Amino acid sequence: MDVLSLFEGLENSPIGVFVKDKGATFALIEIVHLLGWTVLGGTVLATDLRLLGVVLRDIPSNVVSDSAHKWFKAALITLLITGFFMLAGVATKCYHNFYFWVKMTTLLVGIIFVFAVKRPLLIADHTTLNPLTLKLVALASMSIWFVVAASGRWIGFS
Amino acid sequence: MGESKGLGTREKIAAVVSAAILLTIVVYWIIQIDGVMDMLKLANG
Repeated sequence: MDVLSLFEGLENSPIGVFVKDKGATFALIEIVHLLGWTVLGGTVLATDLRLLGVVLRDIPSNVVSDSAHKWFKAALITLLITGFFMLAGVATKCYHNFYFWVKMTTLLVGIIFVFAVKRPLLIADHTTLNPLTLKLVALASMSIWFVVAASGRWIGFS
Repeated sequence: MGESKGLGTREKIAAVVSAAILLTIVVYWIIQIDGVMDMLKLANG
């Protein structure tokens, strides 16, 4: 079974038919998806701009990153669940859309980056870390999540 | 001692991966913007 067959199967599944055919279902799921994005974007900006020394400078960056990471995980789970349902409704369109694959690739890279690189680094005391490394991690983090969000928005335009 | 060595390795990995991500994204956006400029040239003649 190839990938296209999987996507067609998903769109023709009861979930896909429900999302596609039932009135405002897609729009309602998208509202929750976008709310998830606002939380995820907020946690990424709070953590990374703090690491860059731009915002929340009166709060230790360890405190900001620890607090934000809990909300980041909750937002990411929300995005993955609602994203799956949204995909089910338009799976065939997404399969042929270049920006969908950009989004999926950068999303995977972003998740691996957060859980395998960024978080293991940030659980250490930030005062013991090289400030340049922290700034580099913050810039990479903001950049990757911006591409995920931008390519996601572009799926709707293309 | 072992912990600081581990931290040093983690820092190096984080720096290299972050730099690679930033470089890839810069190239990606250059290609995207170039594509848009070509399209605008075609549209405007």
